[in-house]
This record gives sequence, C-alpha cells and structure tokens, in this order.
Amino acid sequence: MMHSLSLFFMLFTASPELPQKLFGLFPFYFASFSDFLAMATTGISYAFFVWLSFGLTYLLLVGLIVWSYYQHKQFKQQLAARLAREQRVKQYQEQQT
Amino acid sequence: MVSFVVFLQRELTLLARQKSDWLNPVLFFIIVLTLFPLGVGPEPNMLRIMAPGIVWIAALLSVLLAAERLFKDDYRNGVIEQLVASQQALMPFVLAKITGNWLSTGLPLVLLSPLVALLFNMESAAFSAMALTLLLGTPVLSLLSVLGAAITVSADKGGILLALLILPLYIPLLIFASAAIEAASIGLGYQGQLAILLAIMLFALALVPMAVCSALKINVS
Amino acid sequence: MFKWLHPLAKPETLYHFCGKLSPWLMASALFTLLLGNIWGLGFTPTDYQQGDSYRIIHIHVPSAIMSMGAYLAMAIAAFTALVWQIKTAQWAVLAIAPIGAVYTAIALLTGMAWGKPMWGAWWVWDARLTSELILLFLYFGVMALHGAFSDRQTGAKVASLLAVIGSINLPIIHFSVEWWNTLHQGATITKFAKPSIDPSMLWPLLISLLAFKLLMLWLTCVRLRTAILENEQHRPWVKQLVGKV
Repeated sequence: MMHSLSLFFMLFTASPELPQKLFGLFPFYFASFSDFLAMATTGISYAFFVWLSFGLTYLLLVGLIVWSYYQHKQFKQQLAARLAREQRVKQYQEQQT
Repeated sequence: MVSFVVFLQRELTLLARQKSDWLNPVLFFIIVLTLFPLGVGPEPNMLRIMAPGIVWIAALLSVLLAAERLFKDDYRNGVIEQLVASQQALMPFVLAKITGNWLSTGLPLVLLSPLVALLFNMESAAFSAMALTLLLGTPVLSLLSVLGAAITVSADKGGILLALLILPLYIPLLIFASAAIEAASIGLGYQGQLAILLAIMLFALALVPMAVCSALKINVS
Repeated sequence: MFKWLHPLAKPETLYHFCGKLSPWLMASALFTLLLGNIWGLGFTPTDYQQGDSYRIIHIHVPSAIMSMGAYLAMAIAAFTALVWQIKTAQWAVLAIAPIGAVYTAIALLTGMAWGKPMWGAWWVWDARLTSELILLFLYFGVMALHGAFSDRQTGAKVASLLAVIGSINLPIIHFSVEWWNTLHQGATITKFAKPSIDPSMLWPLLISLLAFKLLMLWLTCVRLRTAILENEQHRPWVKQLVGKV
C-alpha cells in the first residue's frame, strides 16, 4: 500500500515544474483564500451551500470507507479468536484423554 | 391447463373458506377512501381534483395488505416445496395464484368503483376512465404483489419489507392511471394512457410468472 | 477474456486478486478525487449565471452518474449470479449495494443544496430528483431483503433476483416519471437550459467522475473480500489465512 502511495508522491517530486505547469495553465481563480472560503465572486455568497454539500459528501464517503475497513478487520479478528478458542478446546480435550 | 383449473379451484375454495382474506382488503379500501375527505376537508371541487390519486393509492395499499399472506400458508404446509420438487406443476400453480388474487382483491375494487365515484362527486367521463384503469391496472397490482410475496416467502420478517420492495415497482402504474382519470375529468382523450397501461399489463404478464417461479425455487432450495 | 476471467470465480483467487488491486485503486481514487475537487473548487472560473454555487457540480454530477453506474454493475453481477450460478457474483451484488446507496444519497443531498439557492426550494418534484429518490428505495430494498433472511445463501440469491427485476423496471420508472413531470408543467421552474460547459470546467469534472468510479471499485474490492471471508469461513484456506495473521 505504501509502495503505490509513494509512487504517486515520486511522480510529483521527480518533476518540480509539473505543479507549476498545472497552476500556470489554470491559475487560482479567487483573489485570496478568504474569498475562496466565501465563494462569492458574483456578489452573492454561496459558501453555506457549497461547503455544506462538500462536507456532507466527504462525511458520507469517509464513513463508508471506514465502515468497510472496520467490517473487514472486525470479521478477521472474530474469526481468528474463534479459531484460537477451538484450538484451545481441542488441545484441552487431547490432554484429558 | 388441467392442473391450472385444479389449482384455481383449490384457490377459490380456500378463499371461500377464509373470507377475511379477501374481505379485509376491500373493507380497508373503503375505510381509507373515507378517511381522505375527513383529513383534507369535504370541499367537493378539491375532492374531485384529488380523487384519481386517492383511489389509486388506496388500491395499492389494499392490494399490498392481501399480499403478505399469499404464499405463507402454502410455504408452511410444504405445498411449495412439493411442487418445486416434482418439477412440473409450478407454473400453473403460480398462474392460479395470480388469478385467484386478482379475483379476490382486484375485481372487488373494479366492482366498487361506482361507489367511489359517488363518494367523490365524479363525473361520468372520469368514472368510466377510473373503471377502465382499474380494470387494466389491478391485474398488474396482483402480478407484482404475488412477485413480492414470492420473493419474501421464507424471509423472517416479511410485512414492511414487502411494502418497501413492491411500492417502487407500482410507480409507473400509479402515474399513468391517475393521469388517465385526470385527463378524462377535464374532458381530454385518455386512450394513450390506457394503451400504456395495457402494455404494462401485457409486459408484466409475460415476465412476472417466470420471476415468481424462480423466486419460489430459490426460497425453498 | 473468459480464460482470464474464469479463475476469478474461485473465491480464494478473487480474494487475493482484490487484495492486490485495492491499494492501487485506493491511491488512484484518493488522488483523482482530491485533484478533481480542488481543481474544480479553486482553479476554474465561475459561472456568470449561477455564481460559485455551480461548483457543487463537481460532486453532484459524478455521484449521480455513478449511482446509476453502480446499479448497472450490480445488475450485471446479479444476472451473472442467477444465470451461471456463480456465488462470488452474488457477493459482489451485496458488496456494491451500500456503495450505490451512499452515492445516491450524495447525489440527492448535493442536489438539494444546489437547488436551494438556484430554485429557491430544497426539494422540487423534478423528474430527475424523483427517479433518483426511487433508485435509493431500490438500493434499500436490495439491502433490506438480504438482511431479512436467516439463511445467508437464500438471502444473497433473492437479493440478486430483486436487483435484476429492478434493472428491468428502472427504465420504465424513469420514463414514466419524466412523462409525469412534463405533464405537471406548472411546477417546473427547473428546466432552465444548461449552458454548454467550458473545457476548463469540464476537465476537473471528468477527473472527479473517474475518481468516483475508482472509489467504487476500491470499496467493492474491500467489501467483497469481507463477504468472501464471511461465506467461506469454514474452508481450510480461510482458516490458514486468518490463523497466520
């Protein structure tokens, strides 16, 4: 997993002009960062709606991702615990006989 | 064909013995229709506008009420299991189930439509449109409710699940039927909507019995 | 192609295949998602008609498209499961359903948040909104149906059957809702013409679309692995695998 992540990172560090090329082609549209947060280039502020929908989207996506991984991990743990218990019971029975 | 007649006779005998199975949905239909004017007010013009939607929603709910028990007894008795195991008689059985269901819940609604027209001050054009849409639409209701009942037959918790499954499938029917009645009530032609209802009915008639058979097979395997 | 696909029907092979695939999908999904969204949020010009509210498009449209794409994928898996009796395809149906439901919910919620400033109401009975809502009900139906059976095998099969039935019915519902909507013309303030989109806005949108697709594939892999383990828990290979950890 780390391997593939670092590959993407290397893609950026290997050519330093790549981000500049991207951002030179598409400059930051807003005058300042607070303008960006306000989302109000036409005079009307849409900050609430834009950030609400992006926030909800990321909340739901992160929830789905965490839930999926949690299920996987939890099932593996439960199964391992059950197998270990079965093993112990078996050993105990063998000792008895 | 012979087995279809036998199964249908069996269905009808069962229905004649268990009167509540077909009487309750009909009573439910009438009671829901009575509740609407009490809820939204007795204004005749408003009722006339809302009547198509009300009639069809009441029909959907009352057919749904009958759907839950459709296969339950046969499943508990092991009838379905025997039929699946014998590998031949399932399709006639399903067709008889659908016909029996329509005769017991769909047909009474069609026969009750004059009463509904009286209750909601419908004009004669709207009334005939309503009777025709019920005649064409109730078979589809029966087909879909049999499908839902077959899918959930071995489920531990039926009930509300059945409604969740079938109601989305009813939507096209609801839209075109109430549109036909609405068109008739303002004096427009409604042959187009009726033709679409007929198409939906034939389409469902062709595909649903097969889906019911495979659902039953999955449920008992 | 079938020669290559066929071994994947075996649960163990598929488990390891998904395991190998998922880190790559994870990295590319997160990368494209962040790239597309940041580009769309900060580095594209604004729409002169809708102002900055149009930036919601970068999640609304991809999630709406992929909510239907997920249904298509689910229906294909369900069809495969029913016709060729491939168990892993059944599990794929159940793995995709929650993802599709979340995408549909995202499309609805962002649509509402976009609709409020544009149309003045959180919800209008527009044809697309209504059919998206019905799509959500269909996803819920598949998930609830699977949960209602105590026998896991039957539940998975029946859920596949419902997914196939839904896929036949979905176009009918879609067209009838559209027809219904044009009939009730009075209520629609929604049909304003969409301005043809500028290329500088299109690129981030396409990247976000790709991101949602990759995200779906990634999560399908993760959830499918869990489903495989759950269904194969008595097999020796699973015992060996879990015992090692």
